[in-house]
Amino acid sequence: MENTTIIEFHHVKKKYDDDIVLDDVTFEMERGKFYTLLGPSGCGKTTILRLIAGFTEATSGEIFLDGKKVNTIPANKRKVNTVFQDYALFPHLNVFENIAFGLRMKKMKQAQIEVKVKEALQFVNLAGYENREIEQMSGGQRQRVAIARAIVNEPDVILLDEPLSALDLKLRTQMQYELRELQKRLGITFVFVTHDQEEALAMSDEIFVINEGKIQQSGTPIDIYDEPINRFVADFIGESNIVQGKMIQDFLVSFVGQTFNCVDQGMKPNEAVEIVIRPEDLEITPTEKGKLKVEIQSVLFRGVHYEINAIDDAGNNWLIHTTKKVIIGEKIGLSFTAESIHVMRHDETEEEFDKRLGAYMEGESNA
Amino acid sequence: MHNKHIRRIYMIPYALWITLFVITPIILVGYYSFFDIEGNLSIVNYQKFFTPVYLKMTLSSFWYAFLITLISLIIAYPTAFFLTKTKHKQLWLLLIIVPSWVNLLLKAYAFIGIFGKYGPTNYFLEWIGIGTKQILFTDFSFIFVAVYIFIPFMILPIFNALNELSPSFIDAANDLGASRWATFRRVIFPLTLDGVKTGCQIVFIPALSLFMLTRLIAGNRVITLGTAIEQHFLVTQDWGMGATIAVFLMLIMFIFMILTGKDV
Amino acid sequence: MYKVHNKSSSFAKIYLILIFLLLYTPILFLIFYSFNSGGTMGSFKGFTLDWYRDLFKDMRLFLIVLNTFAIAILSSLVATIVGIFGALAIHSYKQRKTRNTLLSLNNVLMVSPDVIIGASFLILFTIGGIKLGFISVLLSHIAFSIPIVVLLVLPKLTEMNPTLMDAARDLGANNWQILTKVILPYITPGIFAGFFMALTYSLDDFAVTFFVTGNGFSTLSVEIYSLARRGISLNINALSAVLFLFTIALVIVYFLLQQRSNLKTMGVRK
Repeated sequence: MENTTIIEFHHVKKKYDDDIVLDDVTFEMERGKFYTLLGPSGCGKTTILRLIAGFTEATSGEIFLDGKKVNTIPANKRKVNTVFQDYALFPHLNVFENIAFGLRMKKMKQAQIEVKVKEALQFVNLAGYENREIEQMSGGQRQRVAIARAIVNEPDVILLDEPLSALDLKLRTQMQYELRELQKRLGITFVFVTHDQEEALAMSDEIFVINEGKIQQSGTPIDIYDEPINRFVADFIGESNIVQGKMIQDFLVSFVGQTFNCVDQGMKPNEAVEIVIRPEDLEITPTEKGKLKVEIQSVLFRGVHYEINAIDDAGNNWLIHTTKKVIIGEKIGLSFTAESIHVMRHDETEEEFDKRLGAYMEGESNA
Repeated sequence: MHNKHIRRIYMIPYALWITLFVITPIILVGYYSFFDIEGNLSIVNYQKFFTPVYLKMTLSSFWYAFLITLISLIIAYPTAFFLTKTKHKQLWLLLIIVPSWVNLLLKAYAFIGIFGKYGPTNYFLEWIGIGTKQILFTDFSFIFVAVYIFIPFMILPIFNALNELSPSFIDAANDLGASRWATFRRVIFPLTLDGVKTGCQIVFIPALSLFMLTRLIAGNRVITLGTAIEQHFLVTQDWGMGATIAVFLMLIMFIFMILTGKDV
Repeated sequence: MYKVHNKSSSFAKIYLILIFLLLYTPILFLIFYSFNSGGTMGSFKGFTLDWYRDLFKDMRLFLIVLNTFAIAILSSLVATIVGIFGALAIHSYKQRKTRNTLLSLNNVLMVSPDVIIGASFLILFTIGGIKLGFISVLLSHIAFSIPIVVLLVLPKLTEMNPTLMDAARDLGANNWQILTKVILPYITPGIFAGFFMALTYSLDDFAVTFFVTGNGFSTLSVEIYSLARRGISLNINALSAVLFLFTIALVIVYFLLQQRSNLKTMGVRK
């Protein structure tokens, strides 16, 4: 196990003056995977990145890179390179010199530098751009130069601090593919910071959802989307309908005044819980066949689907994604499967959550 | 159409100023440089300028201005650098600038006392056993006082350049393996070169023309181009020669501005 | 963000302290000896306020102070108004070339050495038949203060979003209203800064004034120069102490004004 782990945080805390930015963060990252740190601005995700890079020191706790404790090792001595949000390409150096910067610091021979820079430029599809000035490059090209500047040093880890945020939508989507592709080809660990949940879902092997200085949940994009641990994660990733409910017993939950079958277990009887149902899991039926009866308030055409806002008799709002055409004011039924009810306990930690899910999996395989 | 009309109104006082106080004086200086002391049209002033006396004076004026600029830069750059690292940097900067608002002549006057025969410097020299020295009216005192006066003006543009430098450049250099010295030499200094150039402009050109300092501090040991101009205009009343030196001073200034220009 | 390690940060502290000492010692030295009953800047004989008493009894000097302030305030006011016009004019030119030419002309007096400004103005006033004295000094101070006002107001104009003016026009404002209700309020911080800089330029100027002042009219700088050329007189020390206090007061006023305008603009932004 030891040598597959490349980055390890052990009870890391970071305070600026009296502001706690990171509160007791512990995690491991494996070699060769694409990780995303996802969260709203100010949640501490960039601080984690800066701690890995060595731009800032932890207030307490331990940070390991490749098995070695690096708390006091300065950034220029770490085998980690960063792609900055504003790219931080040196304006007084041309493309070649920007990429060669790290190699020159290692006192590499000129001939070797030329070979390596050329390779790196080819890697990011910018062959022949050596002598361009940074000012002459477009946003997307700068992005690639920044990436080339990082990968040319062959680091163990590449850190990317919201590198796509300055690009327009189309270019951003294209760069998402390219980055993912690049990471696979290089086999280097990527740690990618973003506040854009779609980006995170599309690119990552694993996502760390962060809020208020704590890792809320970590897991594959599918895990996190399907089994959000709490209201914050459910809200932040994708769109969701969240209502208050009560766990009557295993596999039986009640909300909006009705009782439904579900697939969750391991909670106390009659425990207060929150229920998440994704808008795309709600199916429109005739009123009499629906598990819920709602009245349509508004309809927005979103291209691939309609986004419908409806209200039930108890006054709960329901967001529905459907391809069916409906009329405002119409009464419809909503149906959903037991699997699409996600039950979240209040204040459950990630450990408890994993344990409960583990038990659930075991129970399933035993059955 | 409408806008052009308004612009004309805006333009009148400003254009008047440009013509009367910018263009006319330059032309007048050029014009006067062609008159000798008797008021006859001639190029005798230019011939005089190329005699060893004036050339030597120009060179030495240059040399002093160069030394003053260089020393100011060497002192000011680290000051500006360290200032950007302090907690209340704008407040500290303000405190650096306050002395520059104290009348220049008062500061020069203070040094008459400090460097004077019975002043604290000589008292100190006496005390450590070197003995009283003539400090006032030497080139040392001139350079020292000039540097003292110019330091704030050199610090300000460098501080601004450093302050505008995005910290991510420093992070990036660090990230790419640069030591602190390499980061400074390869990233920070080149990126703040514009501030250094501005500082050199602000210091070098006035340093060529500081006549009051040479009069008060350097006695008549140091004669700068400025001293010579003042001498000709206000003492010997040879306006033609004064104007000629002014023409050359302007030429030097112009060349220096191009050399330290930011668009090169 | 960039962390300075402890060893170098204590070096930085010592360096900065030395620089501050260097910068302030001469000024404090002057003020210290203004209380010396000994009459020189060499040995401190005893405490006295005589020099201040002399200073405040000196009617000639009092008149000179009045002149200096009259010149400073009048010249800064006029320079600010002309400078605002200049900035507006430069801003209204859209072609880069015209703009740059105007800016270069604007900056000539900024970069020219004082002696050249002084000498050329001396020629100008002599030829123009203007008697050297209050008027010539006032005109010179207006002339060399205009470019700094332009330089401080212009960036405010360029940073102003042009759609603000379109919006004002759209809402029915005429040109005069756009100027007074939209543009001027927006550039007020620049105008204040410009006025203030013009004030300090005027108060500080020695060289230009020295050339165009003629006989009989004097400003503080010129007076200090002629006193200092005669040697040490502790009257000057007392004067410097008073002026230093005045400078500090100005700094505080300026600081507060800036703070207020910052708050104001922040209020606008929100």
